[in-house]
Amino acid sequence: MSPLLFEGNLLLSLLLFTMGILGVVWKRNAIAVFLSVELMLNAANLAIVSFAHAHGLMSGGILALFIMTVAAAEAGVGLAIFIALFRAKQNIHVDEVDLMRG
Amino acid sequence: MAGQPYIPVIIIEQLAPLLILLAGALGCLVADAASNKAGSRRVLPFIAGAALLAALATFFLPLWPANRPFLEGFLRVDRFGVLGSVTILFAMFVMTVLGPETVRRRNLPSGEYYALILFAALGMVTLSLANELVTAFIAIEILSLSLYVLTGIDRRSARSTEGAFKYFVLGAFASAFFVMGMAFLYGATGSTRLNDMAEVFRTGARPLLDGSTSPLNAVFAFMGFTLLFVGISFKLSLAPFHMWAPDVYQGAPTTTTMAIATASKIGVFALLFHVIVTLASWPPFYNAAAFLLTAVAAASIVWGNVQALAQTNVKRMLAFSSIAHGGYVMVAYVALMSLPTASLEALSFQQQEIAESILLYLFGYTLMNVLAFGLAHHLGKGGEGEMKNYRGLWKRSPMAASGMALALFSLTGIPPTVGFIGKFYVFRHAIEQGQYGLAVIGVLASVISAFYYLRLVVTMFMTDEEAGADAAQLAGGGDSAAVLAPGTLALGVAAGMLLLFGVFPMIFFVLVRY
Repeated sequence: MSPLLFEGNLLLSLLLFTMGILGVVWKRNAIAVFLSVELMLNAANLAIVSFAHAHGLMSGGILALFIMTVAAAEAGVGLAIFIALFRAKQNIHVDEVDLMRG
Repeated sequence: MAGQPYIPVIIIEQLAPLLILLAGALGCLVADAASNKAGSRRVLPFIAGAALLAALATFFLPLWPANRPFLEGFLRVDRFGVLGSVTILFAMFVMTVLGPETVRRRNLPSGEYYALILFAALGMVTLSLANELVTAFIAIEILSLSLYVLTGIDRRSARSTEGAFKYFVLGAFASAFFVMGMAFLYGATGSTRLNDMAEVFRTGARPLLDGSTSPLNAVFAFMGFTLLFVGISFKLSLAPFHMWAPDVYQGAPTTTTMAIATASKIGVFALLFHVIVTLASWPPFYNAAAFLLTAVAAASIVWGNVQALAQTNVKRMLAFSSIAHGGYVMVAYVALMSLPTASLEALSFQQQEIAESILLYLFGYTLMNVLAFGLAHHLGKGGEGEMKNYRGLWKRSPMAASGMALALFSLTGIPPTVGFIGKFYVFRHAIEQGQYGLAVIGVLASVISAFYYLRLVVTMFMTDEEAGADAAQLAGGGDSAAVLAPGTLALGVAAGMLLLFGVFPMIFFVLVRY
């Protein structure tokens, strides 16, 4: 891979990661927040595979596979929690989840 | 190597504790599915408890090469891993013992409850043995996903669901930081195994496939550690990444809170220890990253203690107290950072001393929080730990009030409890390594903390119940002695050890070195 492409990949990954952080901070809907977290995880995946490719290593691809698997498991548990919350409140807006304060 | 298939070396006995926990968890699920009436589900806590004790026992067997990585360098059993695992399994065992009461009171699905306790324990133990970042990441996720569900398992309670929601969103956010940090450390060193990474950091050059080397990219390494540390700080609920902790601690069933506050943090602290000694092979590490840990330690100590002053709920107060205690432990990590690592296999004498102090602190911290949350669980039937329900507890239940007072004295750091000894050693190391500022902040904050811990003691011992208070809301009394017996016994053991190691800390160091 040419050095330019490697740097481009890395910059794209950092851009996606930053977009993910901003999404988590600004979005109101829990699904959109979770989507932003997935974006961050995939930004990390992109960084890992571009590092692996630049260094000529195989391990990065396997690492990325593990992260994707874990992200899928996380989505399973997360959506179940969102449904439980929706049943209790009839919406899943993150700024209306405020039973406990202090 | 060319042409020959590569056969990894796996010695199955070395995985014994992990396999026992996994078998126990699957056993709980199968036993739950096979039992057709409620009575036969009573066997589940015994399966779970037996699996936890069996896993604990394996750590006393000589199964592992001392301090050498095994299983292709994925795991390593060192002193920190063994003692961390034993402490984790003890805390999870107490949670199992208190389980039947939680399940009955909140009408929970018992098969899943015990299976999740064991899965969480599996993740925590794997994490404290991990010698490789991907293994560590998967272990963190196993324990976190189990704890998210254990937090929200009481679906009829809005607070429990809300706690699980907050824990999940911020936990997933933290995991993303952790993965990004892992990506950059992998980019800098070309490996995720801590031993290989230490080698790259020591020589300052990364070996390439063709035999040449390329220089270490310091920017990637620093970014990697920073992002990894942010992820870890979220999991340890250190300020300023602590905002989930109070709500989760308050909303979760109290036995789950106990596991989140104690066992889940020990695994992450073990990982942080392993990561820091790895990076300490890198000469500029202390200068580059010390301010991060110092700032987080100071912020946690100050913010945790100040916020705890204003709380009226016992579980929330203990949440802020655990943030502050996380800060005290970080003081020892700052001292650890300033010591360079010669080799991961043979840490220097000072590094081992600091490791022992951290372990003693975490062990004592676990004992006092197990005791405090265990009693809050016994007492908190109606009121969910509101402080006004503890008024006059001494008259209703002298045993519970004394146990709680002991835990609170220990959290304050009053001798002769293990809390005092732990703080003493942590601050001693800070001063030895020239961290005077942190030591002063820590000691002053401990004095402030006495105010809110002792206020609860005064509430329990020196006030009367409010006139006309609803009896069902008051803490203490009610459950029959037979139901409470196993839980009382477990908490009694915790209280006993708390005093034993407080009076004779040398026993702990002798045991650790043995």
